[in-house]
Amino acid sequence: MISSDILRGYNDIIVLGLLIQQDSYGYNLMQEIAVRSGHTYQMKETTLYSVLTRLEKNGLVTSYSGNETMGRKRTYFHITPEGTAYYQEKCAEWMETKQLIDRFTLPNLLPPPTHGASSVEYPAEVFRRADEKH
Amino acid sequence: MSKVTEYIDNLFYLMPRTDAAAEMRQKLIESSEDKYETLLSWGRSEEEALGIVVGEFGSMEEICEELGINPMGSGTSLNPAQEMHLEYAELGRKFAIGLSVGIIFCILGLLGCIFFSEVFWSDMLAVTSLFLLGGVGAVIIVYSALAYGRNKRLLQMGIPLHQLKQPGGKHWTKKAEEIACSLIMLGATALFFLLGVFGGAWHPAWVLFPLGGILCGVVSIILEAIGRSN
Repeated sequence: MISSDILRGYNDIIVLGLLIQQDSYGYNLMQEIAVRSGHTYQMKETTLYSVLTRLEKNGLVTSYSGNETMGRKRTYFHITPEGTAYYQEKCAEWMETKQLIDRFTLPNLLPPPTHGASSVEYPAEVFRRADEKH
Repeated sequence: MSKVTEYIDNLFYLMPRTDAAAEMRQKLIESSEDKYETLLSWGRSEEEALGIVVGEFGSMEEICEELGINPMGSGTSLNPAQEMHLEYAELGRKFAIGLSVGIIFCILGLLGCIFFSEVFWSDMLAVTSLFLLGGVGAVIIVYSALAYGRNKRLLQMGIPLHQLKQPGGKHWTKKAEEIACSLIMLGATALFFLLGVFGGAWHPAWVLFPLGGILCGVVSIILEAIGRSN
């Protein structure tokens, strides 16, 4: 389970990444996050709504109320063009961050993998550099 | 009202009643109820479902941070005891300043009295100086002592002073009234001495005091009316 502290800065990307596909409401977003993360990340209610409130305040999303079949009032969220631009920017930033951190996380320094785990493919170059040091 | 709504209502109990907070409460209730009913439809018992909703709810600190508000009673980063301590120190300082200013006025009055009677040989000016400056000094001393006593008692009862000061904007008419009245009475006293000393008209001049009182009453009625119409 990933600590929510580390994900703090990325909650915006997660929410916008879902809204960019279609408008959605609170509970649906939380479920979607749980499913997509393979149930490794459960965004807290308060986290989701503080993210949404902040995004709305900055004009990156808008909200409107729609009626579901049950007749219950639901607040839907919609991504604005500014939100899309921001999302793309954040994605590019994440790619850079990922590349940087990858250079410091060497697979042969990890604890031995448990059975059947780790199907992740690391570039050969990563192993070569680590070997040179030994 | 369902248990989920009740739970969230309890969390918002200590929040300031702002529009943003009300909106946030509504949204949180909306999605928590969604989750609760989905869990029930999956065959969970009410207790289990509520347990899951509460467990995955998160912390109100995040909400407070986002709304830029504090739960009532927690003002700043200082804890209440530290805050009281600072306020107490500030109170002592104000009292000391008030007392010294008052004493300085009294001494000035006395000095003026000696000066006028020795240099100008004018008993009238001497008396005026003694009463006017001495009077102002006495008013300052009495006022700061009363304020000190009252605020100290409040602090001892555990009531922070800054909470009382917050709605200060509402009572500007009250303050204006106090200032106007003290100015009127001070003016009446000054005129009384001037007329008495220079005109020798002590007898009809005393009328100024009841007149001043009536004027004070008129001013306070007018200001009160203004305050109420706002």
